This record gives sequence, structure tokens and C-alpha cells, in this order.
Amino acid sequence: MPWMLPTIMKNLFSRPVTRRYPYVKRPPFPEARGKLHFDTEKCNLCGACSRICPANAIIVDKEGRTIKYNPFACIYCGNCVEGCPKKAITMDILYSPPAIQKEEEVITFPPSTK
Amino acid sequence: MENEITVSKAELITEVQKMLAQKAMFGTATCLDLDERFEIIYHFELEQGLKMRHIRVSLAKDDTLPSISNIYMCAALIENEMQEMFDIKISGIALDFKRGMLLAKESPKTPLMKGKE
Amino acid sequence: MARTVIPFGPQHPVFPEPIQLKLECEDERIVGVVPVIGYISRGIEKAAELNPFRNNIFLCERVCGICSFMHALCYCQGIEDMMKVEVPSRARFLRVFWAELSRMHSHLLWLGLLADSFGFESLFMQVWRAREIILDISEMTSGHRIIQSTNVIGGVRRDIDEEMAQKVEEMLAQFKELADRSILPTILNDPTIKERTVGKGILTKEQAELLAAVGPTLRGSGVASDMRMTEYAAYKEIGFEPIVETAGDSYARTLVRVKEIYQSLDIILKALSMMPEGDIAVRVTGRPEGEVVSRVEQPRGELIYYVKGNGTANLERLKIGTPTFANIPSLLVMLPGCELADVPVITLSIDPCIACCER
Repeated sequence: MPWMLPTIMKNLFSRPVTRRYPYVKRPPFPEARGKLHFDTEKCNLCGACSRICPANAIIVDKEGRTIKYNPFACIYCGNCVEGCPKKAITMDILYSPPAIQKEEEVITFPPSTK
Repeated sequence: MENEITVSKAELITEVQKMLAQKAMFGTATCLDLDERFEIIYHFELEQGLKMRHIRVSLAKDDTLPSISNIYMCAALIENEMQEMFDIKISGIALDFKRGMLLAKESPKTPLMKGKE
Repeated sequence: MARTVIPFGPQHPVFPEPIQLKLECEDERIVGVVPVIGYISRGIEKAAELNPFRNNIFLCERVCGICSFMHALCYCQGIEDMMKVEVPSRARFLRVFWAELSRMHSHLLWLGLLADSFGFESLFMQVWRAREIILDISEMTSGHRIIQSTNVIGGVRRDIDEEMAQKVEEMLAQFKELADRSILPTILNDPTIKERTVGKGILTKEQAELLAAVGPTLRGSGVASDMRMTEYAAYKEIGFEPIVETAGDSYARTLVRVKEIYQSLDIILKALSMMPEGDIAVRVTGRPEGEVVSRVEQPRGELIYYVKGNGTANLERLKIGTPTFANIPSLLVMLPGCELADVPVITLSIDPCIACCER
């Protein structure tokens, strides 16, 4: 089948479309939604994020001055980022990597100065 | 809702037959649990889906609803779903799964009834 | 002749999701089918009653991964309709943009799976390679490859600026070049595809109407029915003509979808160029009350949401009528009479999405 020859030659000498994944990674786009970061200076522990979180991934403890964030329950929707009145939550472009144990993150706030 | 008619249980079959004569397409059906009774809304589509027609039937909790699946065969699936999700009796479904279509043996019974969490 | 019942699925290479078909066979010929569903029923309708109505957007998005944007769109349109909210026109154009983007990637995914179902591995890889460009656009504009999650009640959450629109156009041109070169000629001319799809799983126009088939399954049988004709979002300004094929077989349904990919491409370019300036969302206060039926055209067909609100933060009832649920009866008519070897192709030709179907 000689008419297939050009295709064969082209594919034989062209570079693959795929990446060698674990070594070469495509960086996410700058707008990608990923893990949450809480700014302990801006946040006043109002708990708005915890109320609007559709997955109940954020638990705000006002007395103990901590925020418990569960990245394995988080659905990376960005609802809390928009709903935060102090704009204290930012999103990373990478989501949390797989882990053996699903651990919650505890963000501890410095004691209140007031 | 627009284009909605309320019929009694006895008139349902004739009304659905009228829809078939108008070449309406069956959309889906919704069952509502209104504490003392059920309300079933059949959604039909006219003019290739541009218009909708809703037929609302009110049903006492211990009453039996006639199946429309002998007129519209495709209604059998949604009727099966209704009798599984709500404790509603529907007679003469063309393809009766006996409350085993979506729910498994160990899953909660009639989960969409009010007062079930 | 003796009849054999062959359980087809729930774990089968051609099904990405679990569904079982009990095939009644006479020798190699199918004479009867009984569908067995219920493997992944998650009770989303119940969960929607327990959640606040604003959080239900994210729940609806998770009814089905592939058409997540359409579910959220349908839900938001229903709530907006109920609360008499006027959505800004820029938001309506942006909604069309993402809706057509998800239609493109859904159809490309399906095309790959179809090619895979009859063993055409290289077409499968070519199609998914092209799909990657669409997913990149999705990630670039919304922040996620599949679950765009850009709908809110009253508008959208993200804007597309001039620079990004430019880049999207470039990537779409790249996609079109790839599709024109490696996908379209194969679908139109390749004898193996025709051998496996032409004349297989015929659904006549009358049957399709009576069995309430939706989407490409219905349009492949010659019925010009498409919810985009009801002119929701910005389809009125952009203009829309449904794509119809009359043969009613698996190949006709394939052609409808392939043409819809190209049509979506045009709609996206039009939406980008026609998009007016302005706000992307309005603030919505209050609680929904009343009942409403909202419909959009999903990649697989018509999606019906019945929403009933009672003036509290939680909804009274949310009913999700999905296209695959409506297409299963047509499948039961298509299958009898075919060969056992054609079952995978015919089943895939309705584009089954079981997660949608069982909710």
C-alpha cells in the first residue's frame, strides 16, 4: 500500500504529541482553581466561608482561633474566595496532591491583639 | 406555570390520549409530596419542543394512579422512579421493576418523601 | 430456537459507566432487551432539598461531569426565572460561550469512545488529542478543565478579556485545523466506520417522536427539535438552526454530533465577537418562591429542571429530567433485530450518560 508511505514516514520522524509526564509537566493556567490559602492577617474569623462552602470543607473555630480546612473534601469551586468579606482567601493554581491519609489542615491564628 | 391544566385522576387517561392525538412528545413527570396528598405533574412538549404543556393530577396518599405507559411507553421509566422514590401506587406500568430500578435492597425506602432525612 | 440471555455490562469495556442490558438472543440476533439501571444512584434530588438553594449550583454541576455547565445553567435559569432576575447581556453571551465549549468537548469525548467501541484506536487518540485543546481553553477561561463552575444565580463568575478572547480564537483555529485534517475526513470517508454504523440501530421518525427521544438521537431521525430554538441565554442574538439528519441510524447520529462540533465552534466565535460590554452578574437577594420549569439543550439532549421554592433558603423540590433517561426507551427499540456484535456501537450511539440518568 504505497499511498500510506507518506503518513508512515511523517509519523515515524515527527515528535510525539504527548509529554513524558512525571518528568515534563504542563504548568496549569494562571487562572486555574486549586488549594486554598488563608491569610491570617486579613482574616477576622467571621465564618462566612464556612457557611457558604458547599462541601463543608472549612470549619472556623472563633474561640480557639483556628480554621480547619480539609483539602480532600474541598471541591475547588472558589465560592469562599468570592464570598470572603475581607478577601483573606486566595487560591493556588495547584490542587492538593494525592496522599495516603486524608489529613485536615489546621491553620492557627495568633492570639487576638484587641 | 404557563399552559397548565389540572385534571382529576379519572380524566388523566383521556387527557393524555388527547396529547398523543396532538403529536405531543412526553417530557418527564414530577411527583410532589404535599403532606396530605401527592401531586403529579406530567410535562409534555408540543411543536417539536418549543411549547410545553403540563398536566397536574392530585392524588390521595392511599389512592392508586393509573399508568400512562400504555399510551406513552417511555413514561414507564419515570413511573417506576416515582413509585420508588415516593410511596405511591401506580397500576399497570408496562415495564414494572417492582421498586427495584434505582434503589437496591439495602438502600433507604421511598427517600424523597417528606420527613425522611 | 432456544433463547439465551446475555448480561451486557455493568462492567463492559465500551461503557465508561455502569449499566446492564439483559440481551435476549436467538443465536447471534437480539430479540429482546431489559435495561438494568441503579448502580450509581446518588439521591441528588434529595440532597438538593437539604442544601441552601445557592449551594445547589455546585451540587447540580456534579450530577454529570461532562455536562456540568449545562446543569448549573439550567438550574440558574430556573431560579432566575422564579425570582424575576434580568441577567446582564454580557453574562448571557459568556454562558453561551461555556455551554458550547462543553458541548464540543462532550461530543469529542463521545466520538472517541465510539471509535474505541469498534476498535478504531487511532481515531480515538486523534479525537482526544483535539479535545485536549478545548479542555485547555476551558481551563484557561474558567479555571477548571471539565467542571467550569462559572454560573451563579444572576450571571457568571468570570469574565473573558480581550487578550484572552484573542488567545481562545487562536486555539480554536488550531483545533479546527486539526479536526479538518484528521477527524472530519475519516468520519466522512472511512469505509470501516460506515461498515459498522450505517444502517445499524435504526430509529424512525415516528418511533423517535413517540418514544420521546431527545438530542442528537432525535435529530438523527429527522426531527428538528433543539432546546436552543427556545432562545434561552444569548441564542436569540446569535441565531441558531438545528442540525438534522434523516437516516435515523447510528451513522446519522454520528454525523449530527460531528456537525454540531463545527456549529458550536461557529457559535463560540460569534459569541466572542458579538459580546457586549457591561456587568457579568447582578446581585440577587431574596428567596425563591413558586414553581418553574427550565429547559436547556445539553450535549445529549433536552434537560428539564422542575424547581419549586417555598420562600425559604431550601427548595421544596428539585426534579432533574435528564436526556439519557429519556433516550433509554429508544435504545430498547433500536436493539432488537441487530447482531450481538453491533450492540456496543448502537448503545453508544445514544451517548449514554448513566450518572445523569440516575442522578
